[in-house]
Amino acid sequence: MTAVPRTRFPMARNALAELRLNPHRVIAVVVAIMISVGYLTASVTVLAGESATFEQSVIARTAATDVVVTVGAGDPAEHAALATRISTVAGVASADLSFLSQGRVTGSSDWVQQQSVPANPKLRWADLTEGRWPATPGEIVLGSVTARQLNLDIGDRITINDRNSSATLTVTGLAHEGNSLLSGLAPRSFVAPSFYSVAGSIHTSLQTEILVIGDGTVTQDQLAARVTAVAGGDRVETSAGFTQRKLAEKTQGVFIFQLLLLVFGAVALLVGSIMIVNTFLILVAQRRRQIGLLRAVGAGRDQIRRGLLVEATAIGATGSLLGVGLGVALAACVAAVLDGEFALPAGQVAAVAAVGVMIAVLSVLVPARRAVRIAPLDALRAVADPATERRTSLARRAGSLGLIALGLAAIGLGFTDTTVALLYSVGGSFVCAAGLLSATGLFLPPLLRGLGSALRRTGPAARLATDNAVRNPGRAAATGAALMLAVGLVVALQVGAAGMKATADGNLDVRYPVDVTVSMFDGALPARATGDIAAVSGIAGAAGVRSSRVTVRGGGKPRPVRVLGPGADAMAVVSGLHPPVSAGVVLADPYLLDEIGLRDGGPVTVTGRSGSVTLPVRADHLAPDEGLVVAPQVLATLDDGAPVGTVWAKARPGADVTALRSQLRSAVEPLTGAEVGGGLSAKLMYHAALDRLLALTTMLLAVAVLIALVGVGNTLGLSVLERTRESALLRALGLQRRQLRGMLAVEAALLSLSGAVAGIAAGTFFGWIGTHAVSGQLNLENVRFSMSVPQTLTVAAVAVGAGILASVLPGRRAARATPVEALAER
Amino acid sequence: MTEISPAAARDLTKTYGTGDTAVPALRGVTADFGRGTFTAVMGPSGSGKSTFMHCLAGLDRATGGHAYIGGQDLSVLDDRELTRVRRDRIGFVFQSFNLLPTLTAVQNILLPLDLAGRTADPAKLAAVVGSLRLGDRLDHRPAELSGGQQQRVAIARALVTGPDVVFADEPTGALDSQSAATLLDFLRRSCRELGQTIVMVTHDPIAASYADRALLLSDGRIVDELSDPTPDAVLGVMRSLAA
Repeated sequence: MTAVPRTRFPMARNALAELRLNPHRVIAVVVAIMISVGYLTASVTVLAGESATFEQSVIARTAATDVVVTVGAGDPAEHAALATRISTVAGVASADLSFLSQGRVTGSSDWVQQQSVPANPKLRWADLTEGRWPATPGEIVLGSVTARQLNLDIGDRITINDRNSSATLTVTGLAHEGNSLLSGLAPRSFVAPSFYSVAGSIHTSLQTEILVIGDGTVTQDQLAARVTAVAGGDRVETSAGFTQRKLAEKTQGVFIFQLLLLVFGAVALLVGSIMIVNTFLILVAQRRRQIGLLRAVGAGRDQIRRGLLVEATAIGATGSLLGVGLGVALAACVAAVLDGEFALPAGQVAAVAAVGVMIAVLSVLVPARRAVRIAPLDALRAVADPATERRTSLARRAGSLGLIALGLAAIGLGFTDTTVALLYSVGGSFVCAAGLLSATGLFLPPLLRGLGSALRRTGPAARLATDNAVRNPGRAAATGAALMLAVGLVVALQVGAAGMKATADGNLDVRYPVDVTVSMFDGALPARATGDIAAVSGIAGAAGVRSSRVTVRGGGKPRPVRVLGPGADAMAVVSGLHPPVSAGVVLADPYLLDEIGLRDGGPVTVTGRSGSVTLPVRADHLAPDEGLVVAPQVLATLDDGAPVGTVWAKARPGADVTALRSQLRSAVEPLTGAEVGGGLSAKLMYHAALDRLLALTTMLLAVAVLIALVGVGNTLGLSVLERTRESALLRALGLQRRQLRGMLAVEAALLSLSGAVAGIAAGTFFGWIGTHAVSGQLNLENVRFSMSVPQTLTVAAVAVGAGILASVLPGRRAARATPVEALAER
Repeated sequence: MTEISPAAARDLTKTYGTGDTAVPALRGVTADFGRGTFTAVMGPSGSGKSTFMHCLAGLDRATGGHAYIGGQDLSVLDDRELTRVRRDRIGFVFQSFNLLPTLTAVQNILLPLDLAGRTADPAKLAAVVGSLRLGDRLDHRPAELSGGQQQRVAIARALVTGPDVVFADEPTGALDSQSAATLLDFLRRSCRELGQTIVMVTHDPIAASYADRALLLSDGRIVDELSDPTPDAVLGVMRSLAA
């Protein structure tokens, strides 16, 4: 008697054999999972590295410290006295003051943070790469990245202006500065403590700390308790507690970035799962006879379902493993390039991998339901045209249309004046988009037919391609839906960004009526300043404005502010249509109005060197930050000797702002204490920020587009497999290889074009809704619609081009077989 | 060869595989198919009859020897030229899966002309469609046609280009006897009345009896030839081959 081996898991064996024998059928699914999981893995790993880099920089400063005292606002002399008192406490080895301030570099709108470096060598936590530490109030060390950005080197001079002071310092050294992807770290510089504490210094520290080092006789906690007794009301923390608090405050930016990355990762996964469902549906259709045979020889429905689940798990696990490898490798590259930390968040990576497997398994549930309905008799039916798919059920159609209508209604509500307009718009857009995606079966096939009819005239291959593209409407719709989702999101962002730019431009004319201002804190600008600034290329005109310092008294305390008296020549360089300043009104910076507790239209008393006026005040952005604007004759009353302390200038439309700014900087450089401002920088910052955001999000969404295109290639590849005999017949009847490849290329182009067209239409609509909603939230007026045609056409061209590219492999495969080989294949 | 024959084979050989696993399918076949003749190529399974047809019709490449269509040596043609020969000078009728499921009957009939960028002669189309009694079926898709109707559409497609030769590979294999008889009768008539050259591969003695001549293949060689074969005569030769 021979022993008959018993197979414990016959369906698992079948499923795995299927994968081994026909790997090319599922390779696209593996790739899709690999890309999604790889993307998410890279995201979490890069973020972990960023956080580690960030933590290092926060921890480093107080690494040698035992106790940190954060002192409140107050007299620097008192702080120095407190430090001295603390240094006498038993157990304290040293107590040094640490200051922090921020200032704008003259000639640019860049802000630089100044951190004092205590004289105590133990507390010099940054690594000096070149030069020496600052010793006098006139010396500064720049972070290496900051120095590169500002194009400064050792020995150069830099002028830094804060709210009420200006200082020109000499660069004495460069400190190592880790590069950060998230710019969570501000441009940094180091100054000597005497910068703040020297007698007569007007530099204000925004955050003053006393760094206490113990002599090792007591624990940090005991030391903190002793210091608290001396410090009184100031906050005393151990350095561990201090670091923790700082991290909690500062990781907000990282968190938002993390959220953004994960949202886009979720989009990639969604696109991937649409594609995976589609692939499994095709596979089930192709294996109809095989599944029928299994049922005929006695396989139960559960066994069929289990077989597919095993297959999906194997595919998901393979894709996830490859994806984790890819993502970790990518993150390692990023860390190496940025010279940052590399940290592997094992828990998160494992979770991402598990999600990859789960997506594969969940995606197979619907196809499995269809598979178990296959009857044993199907094994015997010779000619199977898999085109016979169920039509979209009436209930589903009604559901899709209902969702779209509901979404549109909510979007409509978002346009009315309600406090939760943004919620309505965003929620409505989601519902509407979900409806559109589920309704692709309704509108994509007609769209395919319409696009195809334009191509029909070009020849028999195009005609055959159009017929093939629509023969399986469900399949075409699912393929198109994935692409539509990805392209739609990209275009929505593009249109939103373009609209926001246009809307912001209009509002910036009101918000920043003057393109460029060059002003002294107090006193006169040199006489040639106006001419120098007007000579800068890109400047259309410049005019000097008389200014003075006055005291304004509204409801509360009197407050010293700047006042400008622009004449007719100065009003001529103001953007937009601003009426001349009447002699019967004081224009004030709206924020100043708030601060001093005045209401718009109320009376205000302004007192200058030679006189005083009481006039109604009006909020107007023409006034400089924390300043006022009055008519020239009013200014003459306030200060009969007011000098030209400000120049207003207008940029030529379309001028190269970067070049203009750099020239402006060199023109202003010799004017000590002059500060450049105006709407041009703000406008540029808005544009740069929007462009950066757009580039970043487009890059992140490109992953989703990539997956969708893999889907197009996959649908096509599987359809080619299923049409092997058909291709053979066509070849026998005289279709050239070239024509066969062309036919598949046209089919791919149609599939991707219909997805792209639908995506662009939907994306444009949602982008406009988004612009409207966000503008409303930001209180911007006159929302403008704008889209960049080249950008959008590029998206369409990439989608169609890549779709055609995706047809190359299936096309070669179909064309390679000789008619006889293919006819023989059953 | 005084007159150029529509199809001819000279010492045609075909071997599948190489070395130890080489399987000879044709071992030197020479045959001529005269204009307006209806020839049945017969033989038991594995005799090489299908391979012979594939090589002669330019569907597959022979290992040695020459195949001629209308005097053109197929062995010197590249794939593009060979495809053109199939499209313009040969008609095909296969056992099954003759039609594209996405096209209607008339679109299937006109497909070779369509691929060539030519338009059909309306009179010729009407004549072919009329004699095959397909007039009321032209706008149906293959799924809506019976097996016999599908094969008649395939024959219409093979004839409408006016090819040098029509190759039929077991055209009745999937049909009931009534439909098969109608189909074979039509093939014979198109040979007699239109002067169409037809080469039909079959293993059915009754089907072979519709032909003017039967070539019998065994082990990749022509072993016998019958003029005006009757089912009994064919059966007799077949039995002797099997013995």
